[in-house]
Amino acid sequence: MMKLKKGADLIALIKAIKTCKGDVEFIGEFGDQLNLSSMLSEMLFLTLASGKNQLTGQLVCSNAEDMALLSDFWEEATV
Amino acid sequence: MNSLLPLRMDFFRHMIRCSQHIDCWEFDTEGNLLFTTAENPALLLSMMELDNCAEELKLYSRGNVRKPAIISNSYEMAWIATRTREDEENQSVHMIGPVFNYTQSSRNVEMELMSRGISSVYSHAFRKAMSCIPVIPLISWMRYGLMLQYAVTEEEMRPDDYLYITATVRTAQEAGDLPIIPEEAWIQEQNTMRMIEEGRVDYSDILAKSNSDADVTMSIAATDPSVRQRDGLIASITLCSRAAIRGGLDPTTAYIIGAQYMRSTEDAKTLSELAQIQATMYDDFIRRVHQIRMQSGISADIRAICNYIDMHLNEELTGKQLSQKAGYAENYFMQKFKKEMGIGPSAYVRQQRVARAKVLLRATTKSIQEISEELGFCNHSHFTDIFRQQTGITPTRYRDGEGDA
Repeated sequence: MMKLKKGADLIALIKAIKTCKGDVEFIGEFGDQLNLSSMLSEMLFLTLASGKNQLTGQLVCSNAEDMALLSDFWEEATV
Repeated sequence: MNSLLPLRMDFFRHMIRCSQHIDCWEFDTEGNLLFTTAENPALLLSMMELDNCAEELKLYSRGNVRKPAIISNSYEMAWIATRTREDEENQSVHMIGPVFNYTQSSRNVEMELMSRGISSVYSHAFRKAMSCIPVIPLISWMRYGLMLQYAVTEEEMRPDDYLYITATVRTAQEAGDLPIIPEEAWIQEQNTMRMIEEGRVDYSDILAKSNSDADVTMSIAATDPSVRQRDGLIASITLCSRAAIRGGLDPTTAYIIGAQYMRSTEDAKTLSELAQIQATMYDDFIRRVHQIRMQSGISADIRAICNYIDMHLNEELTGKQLSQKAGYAENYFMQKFKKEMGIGPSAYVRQQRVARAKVLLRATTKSIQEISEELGFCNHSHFTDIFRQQTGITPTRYRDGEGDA
C-alpha cells in the first residue's frame, strides 16, 4: 500500500497523470477502483486527495514507465 | 494605475458573500494564484485542471478579449473570469466560482458516481465536497459575472457580451450514461402548469416563494447552456400551450401563439433573449387563461368571436364582418358584444392588438414597423398613437423596459 505524500501538489499530480502513456488506476483502501483517465474518477480522486486524511491505496499503471512519473507524489505506507 | 481597484474588489467580495458562498480568485497572466477566498483552493484549482479549464483560463488571460468569460467543464461546473483593464499597471485576471448552474448538474455528478459502485466512505466525502459548490441559476450567475466585470473594469456589460468557453463534450457513452433525476424538475413543472391552467397572475410571487431554480429546462441533458436553454424553452412552450388549453384557451389560439414563441426561440441569439422569451411566454399564457376565467359570464357566441379576433389580429376586422361571423344583425351584435365585454368590438380589437404588440416588442427583435404591419395597423404612427393611448408610453419606451412586464 502507498500513501499520497502530505501536501502533495495536486495540480502537478494531475499534470503528471496526463503525461502518462498508459492507463493509471488508483485502488483505494476500501477496494474502489478509480481509472484516472476518467474525469469523474479524477474528481473523486482529487476530493479524497485534498481531504484531511492521507489518501491510502495502490497505484497501478498499465505502462510500467509511467510509475516513475508518479512515484514522487507517493510514499510507502507504514503498517 | 487605478488605485481604487483593490478597494472595489474587496467591496465586491464582501457583497457577494452576503448573497452566496461563491469563491473569488485572482491570478496573474501566467495563471499563478495571487489571492483567493476559497477554503480549499488546492481541490478547486485542481478541478480546474480537468477538461483543460485552467489552460483555457490562461489563454483567456493572455488574449485581447475584453469581454468576461464563462468557463465550464463537461460536468457543468462553471467559473466566470474577467481581465483588468489594459491601463492597469499589474495585469491580472479575476474569477468567481466554481458553481453549478443547475441542481440537476450536481446531482448528475453524484448519481453517475454512485452508479459505479463507489464505497460509502468515498461517496460521503465526495458528496460533502460537492455540497460546498453552490447551485446558482444561469441567469443569476451571469448577473454576478457582470457585477464582477464592473468591479474590475468599471465597464457595464450586458449578458450577451459573454464569451463562452465550454469544455469538450464528453463521449456519447459517458453522456448517455447520465442518470436524470426527474423529481425536482417534475414538481416544478407541475406547479408551473397548474398556475397556467388556473390563470394565476400572481405566479411570480408563488415561484419566488418556492425558492427553486428548477424549470422545464432541467430535464434537457445538453452540455452547451444555450442548447439546453433553447431546447428547454421549446419543450416549455409546448407544455404551456397544452396547459393553457386545459385552462380554457381555445386550442387554435394556443397553437398559433405557441408557434410564434417557437419562431422567436429559433431566432434568439443570446441566452438573455431566450430568458426574456420564456418569461414573456409564461406571462402571456397565464394572462390569457386568467382573462378567459374572468369572462365566465360571457356567452359562447361572443367568446368565439373574441377567439376569432385573437386569431385574425393581422387582418382588417370590421363590426359588420364580425356580426356576420356571429350570425347576428350588426346593431344587435354591437350591443351584445359591448354588454358582455364592457367595450365595443373595435376597442376590443385595439386592446388585443396592443396586448400582442407588447409580447412582440419584448420577445422578438422585429422592428416597430414590422410589428405595426403584422398587427394590421395602417401605418407606424397610427400604431404608436394607439399603443400610447392604451399604455401611456410609446412602443420604443416599452421595448426599453418601461411599463408593465
